[in-house]
Amino acid sequence: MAIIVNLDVMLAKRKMSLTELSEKVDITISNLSILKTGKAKAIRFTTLEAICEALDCQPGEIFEYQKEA
Amino acid sequence: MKIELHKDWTLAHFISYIAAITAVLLGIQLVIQIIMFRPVGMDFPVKFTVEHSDQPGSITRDGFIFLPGHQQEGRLIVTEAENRPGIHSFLLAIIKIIETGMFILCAFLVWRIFRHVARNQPFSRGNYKRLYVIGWIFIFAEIFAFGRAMYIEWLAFDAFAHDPFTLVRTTGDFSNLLIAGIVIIVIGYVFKEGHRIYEEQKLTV
Repeated sequence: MAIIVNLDVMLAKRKMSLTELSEKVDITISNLSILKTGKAKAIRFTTLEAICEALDCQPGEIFEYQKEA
Repeated sequence: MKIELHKDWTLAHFISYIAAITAVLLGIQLVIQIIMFRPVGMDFPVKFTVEHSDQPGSITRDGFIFLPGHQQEGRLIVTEAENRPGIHSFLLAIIKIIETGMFILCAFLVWRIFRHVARNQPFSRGNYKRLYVIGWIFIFAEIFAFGRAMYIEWLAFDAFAHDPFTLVRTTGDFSNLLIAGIVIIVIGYVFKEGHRIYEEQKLTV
């Protein structure tokens, strides 16, 4: 997919584990893993808002658009 | 009024059990049909239309055609050609076995569909494919029944060749299963769309 999810990069920057994030945003680890591995088809605004709040970042820092070759 | 669908899955359990029992019973019937296979005599319901030249209109009455052709009281008999003994009965017996086989497959697929519904997974990938198969089986069964009716009419045409005033037509409406088949295929499309939405929803974080 052309949308790259940089959640692992942001987690590393904030020195936070996936478990910690899942507790903060109240989303299961499996759902966050789906998002992190790029398997997710869609993301709710409420989820995005919660993640941005927990990681203290902008949506653009989590997602990146890359043209497919 | 709040409707909670998940509480109604017991009905799906019940239908799946009925379908499983039907599949098993039809299976036993098929095995018996194959083991005891012989082109035995069969009655086929038909309508006889007799046109009288001296009276206006025609008379239609229900009757039976019995195959193969040995004499029997109270039935109109179609005799088989001398040089092909038993071939018509043999073909019709084979058709009956194939029909039973198709309906076993239908019962089996209905069991699988309702088992998934009972497990709260109505929009699984397999279900819409099963619905397509059932729909096509219904359509083919109708075409099969129509072909068999034409075959019997052809046999009757030979038998009544000497009587130009009698017309033999097989009974039965040949559109019911066809319409049911088409409706089931449409439901299959709906389930396919449901499966797509369900998968998307599952991967929405």
